[in-house]
Amino acid sequence: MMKWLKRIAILLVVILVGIQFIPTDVNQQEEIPKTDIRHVYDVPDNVMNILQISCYDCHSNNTNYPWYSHVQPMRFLMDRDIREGKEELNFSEFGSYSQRKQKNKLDRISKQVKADKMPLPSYLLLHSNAKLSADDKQEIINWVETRLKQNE
Amino acid sequence: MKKINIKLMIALIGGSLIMASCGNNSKSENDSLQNEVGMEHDHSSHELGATEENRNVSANIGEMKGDLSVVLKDYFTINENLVEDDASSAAEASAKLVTSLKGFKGSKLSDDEQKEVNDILETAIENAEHISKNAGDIGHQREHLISLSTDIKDLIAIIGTSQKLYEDFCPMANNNKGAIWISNKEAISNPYMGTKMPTCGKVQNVIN
Repeated sequence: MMKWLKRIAILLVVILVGIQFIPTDVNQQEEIPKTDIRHVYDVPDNVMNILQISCYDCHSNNTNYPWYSHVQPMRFLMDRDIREGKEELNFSEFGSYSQRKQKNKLDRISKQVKADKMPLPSYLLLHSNAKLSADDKQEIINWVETRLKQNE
Repeated sequence: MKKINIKLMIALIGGSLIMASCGNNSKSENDSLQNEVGMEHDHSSHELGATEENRNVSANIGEMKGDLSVVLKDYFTINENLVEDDASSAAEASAKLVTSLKGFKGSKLSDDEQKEVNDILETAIENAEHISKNAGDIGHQREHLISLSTDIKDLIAIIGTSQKLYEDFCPMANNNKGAIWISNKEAISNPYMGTKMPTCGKVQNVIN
């Protein structure tokens, strides 16, 4: 019995060490591109701050990687979230979206935030500072609504 | 002697596991690559079929700039399913709509119209994908139907259709901000409210 436990334990260690060598993506960009939402719209500082702290890790070309991002299988999950997040909405490329898409995305932002669907619970688990307070949410929603009215 | 055996076994098992996992990886990569190639192939043949169809239709009907009948049929199916609160059928119908939107080609469009159509198709496909992937969240499906319906309306405005259609409006949808949908029946059946309030809303525009 003990023998088997030992074997399983060693096996797990071998696997854990093994997966550390899986190649990873690096989502980082030195300069803020011209298409970033802050260059497209006049985003007030408070809103920009919230976006950067709570959204930009998965929804921009610049992730702020925490220490455990260098450990698998964390990185694997993170890379997937970033890939999927950017596909849905990439604040760094907002300016390259059509007017129609920009409008849609703004509307989606406010609805996802209002319904507490974003940021993802799995992300908040280790990024407690990214959690949106009631005030944060209201600031985003208000900004989106003024923005959408101006676009009409 | 026994100890050595155990160590050897572990080393062997560990080694073969790593190899096995690598092998699996490269295999699944191959698979996905083949899938992609296969899909592209399918897609291109589909597009070809669609353009041929379009040519026939535009030959028949002078002023229309493409054939929206398949797109509309799939869109109406989503609505019918959502009226009945049937999220999983709506998801299936929406997957079909993704395909028909991707296969849609306009004809005789000016550059501006073509750009507009491309923008509409892009967001419409995105909305349809969300509806197809959220069989478990009918609220989320309905949110995307709001913007999908605007896409469909705008697409009809540019492309045209031979069908008699109705633009319906429900003031309670979209968190009481109101939302439109397109229907091929004069009687109201509301996809946003579902079985709770299937007749809420009114016809605000008749197309054709």
